Amino acid sequence: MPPLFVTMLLTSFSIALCFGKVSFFSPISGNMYNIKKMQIVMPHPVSILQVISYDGNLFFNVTLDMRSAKNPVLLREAFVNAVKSVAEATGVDKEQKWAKELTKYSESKEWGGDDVVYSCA
Amino acid sequence: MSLLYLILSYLSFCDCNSGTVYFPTMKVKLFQDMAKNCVGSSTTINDILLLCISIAFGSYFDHLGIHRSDVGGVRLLLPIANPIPPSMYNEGEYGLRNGMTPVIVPLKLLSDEYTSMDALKDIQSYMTKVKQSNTPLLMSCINRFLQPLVPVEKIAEKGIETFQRVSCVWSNVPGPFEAGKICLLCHLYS
Repeated sequence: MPPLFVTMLLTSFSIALCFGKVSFFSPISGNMYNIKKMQIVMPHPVSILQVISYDGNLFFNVTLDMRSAKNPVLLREAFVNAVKSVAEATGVDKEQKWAKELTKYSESKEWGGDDVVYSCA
Repeated sequence: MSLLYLILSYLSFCDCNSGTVYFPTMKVKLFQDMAKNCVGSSTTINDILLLCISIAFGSYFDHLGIHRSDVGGVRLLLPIANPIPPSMYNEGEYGLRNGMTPVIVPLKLLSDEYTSMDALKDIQSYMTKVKQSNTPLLMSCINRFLQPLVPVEKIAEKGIETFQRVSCVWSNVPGPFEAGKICLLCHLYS
């Protein structure tokens, strides 16, 4: 983590943003942002990432800013593939119960499965 | 949980520039087993989850044609506990309080040249550095010093702004592993 002087530098930069009006160009959405208050200036394609754990289950959903993030289905597939690749790397996929479970994730019928993405963009 | 999904979907519909994608429901035990199978017992479920999310976002941004180094938009808010001893409480202040400092860190998007295990090591060392950093303690001291000087409304406003700047709150509290029941009788008789 940054040493003290870097933290102080960042703090003074934040304070500068607080008092000044700075414009930044986002490489992703192509929008010009007018920063009037303290604000992070990077593009923000992922608005909310929720992971809730209950009763031994993990529930995930991601809200994307559709002005900069496209094809959310790809993100779902990417996550399932990521879990599979980590399971493979750790050798968990060799256990029968998890092999079945991992296969199920690709074919799941929950909300958001089967190319259904809830969006009003 | 269906009620929760309804609320979440309603919230996602409120903003017409947003789209929500739901991932399959996964077993916590699977992530526990993955953590156990890793070399070195210090791997946690959090590390595995963060690794999967990092790989997924990296791959997703690749699909979109966005260079990973250009993406600084996925930020995690880590609530780091800084318990304050009662001797340091302000006058009129009582116990049962959260000595917590929110720290914002970017989600580490790893290079696709990494293997999963290398990526896990990288994520682990990154999170260890975050946890061992003195920044949360420093921020806690600054907050504690400024708190009596700033109006409550301003603090609330800044708190909301902080939450608007992050994509998620990343804590190490995974929630109950089994369905729980609230015992009201215990409360009544206690």
